Amino acid sequence: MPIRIEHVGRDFGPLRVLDDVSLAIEDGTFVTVLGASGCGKTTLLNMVAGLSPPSRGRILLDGKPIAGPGPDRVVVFQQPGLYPWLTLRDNVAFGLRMRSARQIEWPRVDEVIAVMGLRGFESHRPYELSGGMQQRVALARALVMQPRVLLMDEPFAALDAQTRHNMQRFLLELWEKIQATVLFITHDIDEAILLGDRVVVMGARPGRIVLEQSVPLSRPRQWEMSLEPAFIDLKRQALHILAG
Amino acid sequence: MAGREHAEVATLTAGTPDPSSPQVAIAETESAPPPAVAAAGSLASRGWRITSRYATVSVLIAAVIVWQIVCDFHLFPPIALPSPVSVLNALILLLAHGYGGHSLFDDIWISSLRIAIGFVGAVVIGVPVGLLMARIDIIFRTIDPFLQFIRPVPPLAYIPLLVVWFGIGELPKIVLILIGTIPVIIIGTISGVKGTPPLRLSVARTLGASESQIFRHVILPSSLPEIFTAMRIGIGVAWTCLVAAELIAADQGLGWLVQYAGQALQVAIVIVGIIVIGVLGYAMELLIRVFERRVVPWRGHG
Ligand SMILES: Nc1ncnc2c1ncn2[C@@H]1O[C@H](COP(=O)(O)OP(=O)(O)OP(=O)(O)O)[C@@H](O)[C@H]1O
Ligand SMILES: [Mg+2]
Repeated sequence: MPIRIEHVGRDFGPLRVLDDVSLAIEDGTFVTVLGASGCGKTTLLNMVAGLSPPSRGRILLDGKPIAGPGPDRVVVFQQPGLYPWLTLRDNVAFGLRMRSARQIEWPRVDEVIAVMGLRGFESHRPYELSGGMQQRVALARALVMQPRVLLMDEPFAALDAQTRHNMQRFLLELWEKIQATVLFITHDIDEAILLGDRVVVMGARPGRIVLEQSVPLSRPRQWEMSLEPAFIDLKRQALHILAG
Repeated sequence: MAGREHAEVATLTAGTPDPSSPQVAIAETESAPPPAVAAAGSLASRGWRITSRYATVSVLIAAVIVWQIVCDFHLFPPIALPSPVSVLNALILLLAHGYGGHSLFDDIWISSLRIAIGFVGAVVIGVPVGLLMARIDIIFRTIDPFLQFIRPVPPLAYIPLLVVWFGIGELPKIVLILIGTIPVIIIGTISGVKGTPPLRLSVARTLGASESQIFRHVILPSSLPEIFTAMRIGIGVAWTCLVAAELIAADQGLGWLVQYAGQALQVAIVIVGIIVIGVLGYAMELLIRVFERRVVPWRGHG
């Protein structure tokens, strides 16, 4: 059980953003978190990442409390956050270079670049890439670290519908190969159900978990599954909660 | 000065169209509109730049013609306002024989040398001090009051003091350039460090970078564009300080040339001196821009 979130709360001054959130994420599962804007999804993810501490409760990784950020929990943020002075290849290798500047595993870097469909653009700068490609570089930069847990905060929200759709398909195929442990935040219900093994729906003010449900769809997932009754059932439940 | 700086920053950021051609190819497969828009934008700005260059030349020519006409009608006594032709003659005379015992090139050389030493010194001192101030609060709180005290005092006010302390050699001029330019560089560096986008820091943290790695690999490159802006403002300040120092306490240099010729009422030579100072200042600014484009090619691309 890599991640256990136990009765976690978070305040910003007088503002109670999260209250009594408990969630266990098992090895190799893809957990998606749905919630209205401002309900505290990013706050929760940042605490798992170790970027900010919980006000109450604790978060355990393999039984040990999380003390700070670490390359075992790499984050893909809503914006790519690439370094404009580095080429695509150096951006992907950034984490490996921080780990050990002298022995970067370049074959692995190039492999991930190829898997992401970015071959041929290795020496491009981020501003020479489209938005979808930039987000794939951010994903490559995370995957190359072979992290224990992959944390994704609405990674496709800033993309146009077509590119987002392509990225979802791409992530599905990739995940079915690598079976990583993923915590994936989104406010797109279809995306949450299509990608996730389990869907967590959060309520707002204060943020808390309202629904936790495993997705009754087989793998590999297909886009057409969004027409199945099981999908629509779950979507209806989530919609009910999100609509208040 | 401030307005001029603004306009140049604008053309600088708008006018880097070089990498736009591969973008269009990607845009087709990726259905991303921004690169295409950027390409169109840079194309438009290139056309605008050519137009504005013509405009600059036309205004210059028109001004010289008006100047010549004003002189031909003797609206002012020629000793106060020499004609463009007599200024040109003064330039030729200066190039051939120099003035006050040394050639024009000696004056250009000595002034450029003073600027180069003072300015490079200011960058070499100002950038590390700025980095330290931005990183360590106690250093910031110690140095900042002095910085804010020095800044509003015009450089002219320091000159008598510097002459008493250091005489009229090279040292007081370079010290004056340092006094004027270092605060500009420090403030730009601090602002560059503080302006590092938080996302870049979070990314580095979650990828396991240590604080010193973050400083070296994220904060330092992030602050470079602002440091260059500070350098471009700083070179202007350095010229102001130098010419002020040479006007009052020097026996060589372009400031001295202007002052010495002015005392002798040789206004044509004064005007030549002013033009040379302006052209040299402009050339140094262009040099920094070239350097900037090489070091921070991502500038204006976020
Ligand atoms: N550093 C902070 N200081 C003060 N308030 C904060 C801070 N970070 C978040 N908040 C507040 O916490 C609440 C939840 O923010 P959070 O970013 O976690 O929402 P979210 O669910 O990720 O929303 P979105 O879907 O729009 O990204 C918001 O009301 C926000 O104003
Ligand atoms: Mg968020």
